[in-house]
Amino acid sequence: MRLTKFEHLEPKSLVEACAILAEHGDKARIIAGGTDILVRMKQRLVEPQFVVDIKRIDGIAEIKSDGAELRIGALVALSDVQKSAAVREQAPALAEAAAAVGATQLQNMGTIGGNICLETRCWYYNQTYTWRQGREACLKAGGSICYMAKASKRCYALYSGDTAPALLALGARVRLVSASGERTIGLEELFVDDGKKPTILNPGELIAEVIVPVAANGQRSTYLKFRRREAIDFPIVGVAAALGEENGVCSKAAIAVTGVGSAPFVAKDSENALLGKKVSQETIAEAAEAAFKQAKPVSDMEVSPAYRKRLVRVLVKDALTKVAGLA
Amino acid sequence: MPQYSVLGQRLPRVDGPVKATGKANYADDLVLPGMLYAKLKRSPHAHAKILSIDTSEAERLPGVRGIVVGADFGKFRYGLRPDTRDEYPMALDKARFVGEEVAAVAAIDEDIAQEAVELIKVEYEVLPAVTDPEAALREGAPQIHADKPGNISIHMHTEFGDVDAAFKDADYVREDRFYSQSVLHGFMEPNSLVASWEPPNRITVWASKQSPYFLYRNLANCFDVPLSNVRVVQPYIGGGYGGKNGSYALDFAAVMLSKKTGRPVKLTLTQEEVLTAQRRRHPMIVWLKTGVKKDGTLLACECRIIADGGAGTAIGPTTIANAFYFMNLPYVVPNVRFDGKRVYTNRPVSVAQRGNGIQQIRYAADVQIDMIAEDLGIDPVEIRRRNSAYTGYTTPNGMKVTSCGLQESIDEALKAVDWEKEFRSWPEKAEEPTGRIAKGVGIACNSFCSGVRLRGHNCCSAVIKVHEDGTVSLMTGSTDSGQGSETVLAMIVAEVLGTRIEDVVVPQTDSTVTPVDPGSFGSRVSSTAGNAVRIAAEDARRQLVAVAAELLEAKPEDIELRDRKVFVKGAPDKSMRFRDLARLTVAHGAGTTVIGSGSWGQEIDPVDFEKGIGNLAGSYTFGTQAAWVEVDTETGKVNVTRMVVAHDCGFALNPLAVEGQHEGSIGGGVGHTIYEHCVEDDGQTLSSNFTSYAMPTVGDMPEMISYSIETLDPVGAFGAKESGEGTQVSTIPAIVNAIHNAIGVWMTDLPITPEKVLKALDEQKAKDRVLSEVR
Repeated sequence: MRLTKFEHLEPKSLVEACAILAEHGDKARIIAGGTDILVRMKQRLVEPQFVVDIKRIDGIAEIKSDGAELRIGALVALSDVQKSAAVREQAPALAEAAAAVGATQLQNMGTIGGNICLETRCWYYNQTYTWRQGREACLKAGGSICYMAKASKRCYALYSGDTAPALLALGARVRLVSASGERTIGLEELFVDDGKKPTILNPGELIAEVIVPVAANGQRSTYLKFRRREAIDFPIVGVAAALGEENGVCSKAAIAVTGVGSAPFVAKDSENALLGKKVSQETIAEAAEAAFKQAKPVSDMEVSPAYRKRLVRVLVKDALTKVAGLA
Repeated sequence: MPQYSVLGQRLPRVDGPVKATGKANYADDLVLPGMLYAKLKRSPHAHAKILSIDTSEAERLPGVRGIVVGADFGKFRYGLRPDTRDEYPMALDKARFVGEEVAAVAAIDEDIAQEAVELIKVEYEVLPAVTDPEAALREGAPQIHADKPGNISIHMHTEFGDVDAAFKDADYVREDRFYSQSVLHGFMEPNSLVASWEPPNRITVWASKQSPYFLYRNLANCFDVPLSNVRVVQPYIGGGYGGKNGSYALDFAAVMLSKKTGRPVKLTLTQEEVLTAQRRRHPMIVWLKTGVKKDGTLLACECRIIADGGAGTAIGPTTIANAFYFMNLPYVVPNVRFDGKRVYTNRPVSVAQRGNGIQQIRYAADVQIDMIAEDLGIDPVEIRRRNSAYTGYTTPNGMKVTSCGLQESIDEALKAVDWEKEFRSWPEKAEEPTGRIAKGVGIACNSFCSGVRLRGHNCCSAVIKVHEDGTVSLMTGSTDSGQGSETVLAMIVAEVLGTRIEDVVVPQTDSTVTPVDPGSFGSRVSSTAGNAVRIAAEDARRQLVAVAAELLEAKPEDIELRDRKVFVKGAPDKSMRFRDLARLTVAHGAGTTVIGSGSWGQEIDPVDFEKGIGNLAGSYTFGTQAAWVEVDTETGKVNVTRMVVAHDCGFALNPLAVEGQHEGSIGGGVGHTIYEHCVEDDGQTLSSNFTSYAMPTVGDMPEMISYSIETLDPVGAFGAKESGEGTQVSTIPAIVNAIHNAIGVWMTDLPITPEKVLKALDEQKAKDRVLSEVR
């Protein structure tokens, strides 16, 4: 599988990168670790004329901690995220999520920024050019049909990033930069439940860093991933949970789920089921039930929606049980 | 046990270092001067008439040197038997599955070839397709081959004994349906070859083939050249497992492109092409009805199968025959009836895969015997022991068991499992509260053919050449597709000649130089080629001994060859180095170059595809496997934690190689049972890469413990029988039985996905609820 012709650009600063991206608009694509985009380029799902390699940009490849916040540059490799003592101590869910991505080689190449921006995936979309010639183009590939939900007008490609739910549960923000300036938004605002375009990133905008508030005393977090095999696979369901307790009641609860829709989602009702209450098997079960109700998976070749929904309940329960120390 | 100096040792593979260091040349590593690169144009439709193929634009693309289409091969068709020749080298009148090869382009590089492929315009008339074998059998179903009405590729119906009477006599009869899904061989090296046509009529191909001789004959017939002009050379092979036996479109296309362009042509498939359009294992629906006496004695089995053959027959007759033959072993079944249909569908062609037709039926039978044991309250070990075949047993259809270590394999497996302590039947466990993770243990037995008797070329041959420095070349037609036969055959030579394994070189198979052989399938190589190599080595030894006797002034029967030295029995002062003997054989007197040769084949009737009468193989292996599983009752995920194999391989020529075979079989079996299946939609394969087609990773493999039972078979070389396939057969039922032992449900639909496990648990709960309400 060959790549179509493109020009490879290597900006040395964010300013330069933003200028290039602004100039070329949709004809340009960013490459960092390349683990996602290179495959899609080989499959000719994207055929950029300009590939903007951001790996030479200074200042966005390190993890800094000032005691209140962890600032993780977008270029930090997933293997460095999981190895970082600061991340392991202050944001364990993120370390666990980074360790659950693909396999070791992929974690060495893939970056945190890229993993957050992981393209949504589908059995009918993530195929080579020749494979796709066998049928009419799907919505995500520019056509007008969704093979996963044939009556649908929208694309149901699945979001399956592992680090995003961990970051959502940890209350992370992302600093976005573009030629027209920068903005910092809550990660939750980055995602939209649309398989065709799962983030609100504007053309020419990129994630510069991820800002994770350091866990308050007594707050614990974890990420659990259910997949077919011990390695390689994307999550069928992934759940991150963060939990804090004060004076015997739950003072903080955050639960985020991946693998179920076109965007990761925060299980708000689950959080409400716990906040202000004693964390027990009963309240955890209520929280899990709330997440089960909130999850609205569509059909998939691998598992039925009903099964995926059940897994959400099991994983939310397991994650909360683990962070509450009730296992 | 006989004492050997080389055989029986745990010797590392002779091809290990060159492979581990990346120095081994596989077909795709080869480069010839002026070589072109080819790519294939494939049908996007499961079933479509080809109205026209327009190659004009592709031909005009700079760098394109040649294009071939189906019509270039005339009406030539090929297949295992004259009546099953249903495959064209490339699609001729119509395409019968998604990915069928319609045209091929050779160009100066791969990218140009691919670009040209995309410029070829094929006009199709799309026809209704059928991708389900039961639907293909229904009246009015689309007809895939005009000369095969009803989409029947193979139909075998046979009976031995009086099955109806036996069912009447039975105290208990049980009937179940089992399904084994579509799985792939999963070799790491995609199919590949370099082809060179030399005018006027010589063909040389360097092809990744576990059995080069199907191709050797097919090319001779297709291109009408004598066999002596077809040279198939064997590079290193990156795994085959049945998926590199036959001849495929890429082979014919590359040769035809070379003929047309006058240049060598390389054609290497992408892994996507392999996973979506190459051969796969037969999916099979198995209905099995078994009647027993109260004590579990088997009286009769009736088996009906529908095998999904895909769009061609290929090696399919053997798959159906194997399914029947292995109704008869490893247990004694006095009355058997079999009805096996192999059905055409608009899917890629089904062929042999490690276990060829045997594990689909043995999975059913060895799970059902556990079901029967539980229904009758018999211990699952006891029912197996009671019905076990034995040395000297002849099955109702005439399969002769020359050695059988089944009881010993049960002993050994149970000891390793600590069965008495670990096993309690499900009915005993059912009422106990279990935690979320349910644990279970299960056993299964197997039998397999060791060296099948073929209808065509059956024997294996070997030629041994002794060099004047005492080193030896072994020319054999048996290919090492990764199973380790090169090492084991070299060990046999070293043993017989009293040299060391590092003194023996096994050059690559080359059909113009090395003896013709049937190929590496049907677990033939160690047992069958092993005998040929033994005979050839003994022939060389006789010649060497004659010279040694003369030189050492001793009787030939007193000469001993051991560890690179020549001794005289009873005369410790008389000896010489083996290398000196080798030199003197050519230099002493008139001189003689020592060339030993030998042939060996099973002296039994050829396999009977019609009625299944007679002896399928030279001998049969037997084995027992035990599996431990943990089932997460909330997610349904099954984790196979440990697996014990006790396998009667006759004699372990190289125990390290035997263990490697067992581990590979377990990997394949675990994948087949739990992880793998081809995901398809209307005949198009969606699982087109190794991310979506989920073979187990090392992290998913159980702890593996293996034992060899040595029964010293009278037929196989040095008493050896197969060890490469039998274990994969019983991996599936061992896991299924262990899952039942853990959670009380029978999983009869493969693969056992977590979702299916949960569904089965739900159904079980619902049933229990109803039962308790009734009470």
